[in-house]
Amino acid sequence: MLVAAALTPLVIIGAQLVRLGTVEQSRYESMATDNLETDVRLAAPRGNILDRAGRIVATNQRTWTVTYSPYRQSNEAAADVLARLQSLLGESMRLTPDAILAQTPRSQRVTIARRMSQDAVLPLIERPTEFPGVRLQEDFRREYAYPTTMALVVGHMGKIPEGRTSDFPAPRYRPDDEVGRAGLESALEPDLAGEPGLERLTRDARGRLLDEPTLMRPSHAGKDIVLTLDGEIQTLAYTQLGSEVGSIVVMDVQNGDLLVMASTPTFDSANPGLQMIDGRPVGYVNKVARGQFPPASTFKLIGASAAIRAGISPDETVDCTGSFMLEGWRRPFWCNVRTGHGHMTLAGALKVSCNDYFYELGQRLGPELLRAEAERFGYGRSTGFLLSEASGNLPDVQVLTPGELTNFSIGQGRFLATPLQVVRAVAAIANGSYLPTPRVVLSKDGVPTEVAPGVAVDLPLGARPAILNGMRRAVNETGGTVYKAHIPRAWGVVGKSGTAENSSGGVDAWFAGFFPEEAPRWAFVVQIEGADGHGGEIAGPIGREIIRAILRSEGRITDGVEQPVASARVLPASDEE
Amino acid sequence: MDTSLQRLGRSFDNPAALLLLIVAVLLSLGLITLYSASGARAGLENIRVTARAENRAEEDYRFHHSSSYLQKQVMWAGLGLVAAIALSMIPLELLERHSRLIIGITFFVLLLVLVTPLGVESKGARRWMRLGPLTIQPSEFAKIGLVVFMAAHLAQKREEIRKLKSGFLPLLGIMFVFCVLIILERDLGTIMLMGTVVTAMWCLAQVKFRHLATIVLLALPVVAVLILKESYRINRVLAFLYPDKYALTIGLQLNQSLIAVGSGGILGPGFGFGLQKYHFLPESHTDFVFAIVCEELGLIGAIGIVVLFLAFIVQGLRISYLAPDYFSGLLAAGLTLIVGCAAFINFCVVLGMAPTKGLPLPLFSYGGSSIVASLCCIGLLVNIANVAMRARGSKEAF
Repeated sequence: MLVAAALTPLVIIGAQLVRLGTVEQSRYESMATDNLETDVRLAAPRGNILDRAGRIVATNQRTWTVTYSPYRQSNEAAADVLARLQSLLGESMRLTPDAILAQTPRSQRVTIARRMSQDAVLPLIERPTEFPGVRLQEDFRREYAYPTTMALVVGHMGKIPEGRTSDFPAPRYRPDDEVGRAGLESALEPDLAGEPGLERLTRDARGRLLDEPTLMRPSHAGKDIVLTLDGEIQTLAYTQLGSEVGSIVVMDVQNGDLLVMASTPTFDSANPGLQMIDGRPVGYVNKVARGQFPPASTFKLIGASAAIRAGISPDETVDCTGSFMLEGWRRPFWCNVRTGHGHMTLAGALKVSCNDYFYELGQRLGPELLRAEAERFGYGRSTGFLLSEASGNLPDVQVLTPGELTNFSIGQGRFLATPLQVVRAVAAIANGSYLPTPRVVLSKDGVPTEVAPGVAVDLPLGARPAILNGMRRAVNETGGTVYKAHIPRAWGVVGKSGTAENSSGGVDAWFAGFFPEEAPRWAFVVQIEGADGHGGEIAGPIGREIIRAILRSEGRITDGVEQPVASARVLPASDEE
Repeated sequence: MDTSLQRLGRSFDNPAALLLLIVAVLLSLGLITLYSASGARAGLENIRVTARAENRAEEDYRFHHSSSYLQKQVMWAGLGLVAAIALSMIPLELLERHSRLIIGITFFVLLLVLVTPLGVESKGARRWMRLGPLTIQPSEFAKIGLVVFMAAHLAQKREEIRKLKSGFLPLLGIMFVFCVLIILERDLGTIMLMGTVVTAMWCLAQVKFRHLATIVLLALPVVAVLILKESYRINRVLAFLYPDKYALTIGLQLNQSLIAVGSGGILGPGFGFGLQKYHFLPESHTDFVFAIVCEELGLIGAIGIVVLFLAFIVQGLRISYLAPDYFSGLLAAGLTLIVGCAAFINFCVVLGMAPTKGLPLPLFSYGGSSIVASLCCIGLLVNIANVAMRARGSKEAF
């Protein structure tokens, strides 16, 4: 009896001991480890973005996130800590102390303030024991040196969008992280985002460290990105655009590097939600790549190439009467000068942008040849640009009825192109053989990005001199469409203007060209929407200032003295009629 | 001449020999565990330096070095040994004769704690008494007083014990007064313990089963009311019933205790290598010290200690059986159960098999009164064993 009575508690307690020590052992062991060890994320700074000259475009400011848990604290102690936090953080505190204390369970860590500057949280850094339950996490805030002028290329940061959380998996991302939401910040997210590290802290229940922190995984900063853009010239482009709606793009004719990619209206990268900047509504569309417009007379350059490919001599003349009658049409197609230009050669027609010449040309070539030439120059398809782009609209042959063909031959009608497509076509004329692929990222962490191969254009023999002749005269000769922009002849700029009536009553003004003629380096397009006047008059002077800035930055001209470029050439005698 | 080995062997005829051996082992393990649980931040001296630099103002640096708890406990244990030796030599008749005086003094002291400024309140309970530099917990000694009185009364009224009025009611009255005083000290655990011990003694003394059953049935609703009256008692029961649900709030202590026990595994990492004592387990050096034993010594060590306590009970009951008279037999049983039942209730609490009560583990938990009282019980048990041996003509006394 006695033995049985004594053994019963032994058996019961023994059984429980065995259960806890064997069956449940691993569970409790991991709970014990959880008790003691906390893994702390080490924030990794996002990669910097620099312009081609090494100027900072986007960088990171170190900030601190303050979190708090009243776990194992009495209500009075917690209220005291929170009151002191409130006096320290003031308005930045997201929740009231009461709301924090009402939170359940108590062990839940609450974010109290985010993006605090180091100065604001200095007492928390220096005297942590006065604020039990409070923890600081280092974080980074994105800062932009060109918040508006680079916004449409660089993009902006934002919360991880709902429904895309699986694209931003842990441990690299936390749900409340900011990620690139537009532009390069988004397109280069994998390169820019750092790899956060992990540090294991061993603490007792009061939060005192029992050992040196163990580095589980080091953090790696994101890659530094160098852009092909030049921050200063880009800024100048915005100054030049002023309150106009338009876009400016400058491309290296050899490798497709974009020196300028500006478009208005823009927004503020640092504050993407802002609706108005300087009293003007913001815009989020990079029109260089995504704006689609009739290329207007800039397309005559391609028409010229098609003519020479078809065997038409550049010296052959067309008599411009000021209007063009198409069979079966009661109303004439007008030339830009209704009194007529008289007899026009190809170069002359490009100089004054004679419509009659190209109406005639279009009818002689027919839709297939002209459309094929446009296709050859990259119209109607994407350029291979890193960021999102539109592919324009190259009308099908069936659509190109004689009437529509007439419009098409002067770059209007249903034909739409992006400024990026236009500048690329101009670059092909400049280099004489291929369409460069636009590039905006020069290098990642010092490793140059690959220059994508260009697309061969196969310019017909004799086309380039003939077209250049027209473009040179348009800029440099009296009566040329861009002559009034007063671009110094010594700069070697050649170009073509364009004017398209747009649906809203104004005109879309174009100025596309390249320079220097003898050693082409930069192709450019200036496009202004809804302007009042002729393309060359509006876009020309803007182009001139951009070109001036580029030449100045290259040291080819200095302030005040517009020196001739190294090998100023004597222009051939005018063959103006 | 006997060889010394033969003498040693014969000395174990006295049940007190094995009892003392068990107690010596338990006390040693108890002190080592206490050292580990309370302050042996073994090899982590730098932590305290860091901690001091960081938390200069923190309150628990009353104890400035790692062995301060141990030193106090050793001092109390020494005092307890002196008391035990004294009690092992006093004539037992003295206790029997003056049992009324003893219970009177016991009640008087308990009353002093409650109504005079000598009483000290701590953690919501008024159980302690300040005597100069010492703070003692009289209820620990009151247990012995009650058992002495019960044994004496049951022995004196042996013939009348089955009668209600002259036999059982006076016992009940004393028990009632004891319970009321202890309840006022908010010490339900001690009442549960003494209820068990006294009921066991009544059973041994063959109190009428009808009386016993009635009183147990009457006590149950009273206990229920006492639990429901105090929110912390309800919480303890809730935490016991649903340990996972309240793991971070009212069940924190129990949960951390289970973590300690469970993470020890079969063998445990060894003395000093437990983690739960780093403030994760509240009261790791007092009521929950057994959890630290389980964590550091593993399943084997824990079962070893349970077996040792069981052996203590068996040995104590053997002394009771061998006791020369009815009084000392009942006394031996009561004293054995004071220590033994307390230990087993403590095991159940630590292992999550009973709600938290606030009962220390005898010989292990930090606390002067507890260890002195436990050693007093052992001293009296040795006394009874010696008397029994003498009565049987053996010279082997302690």
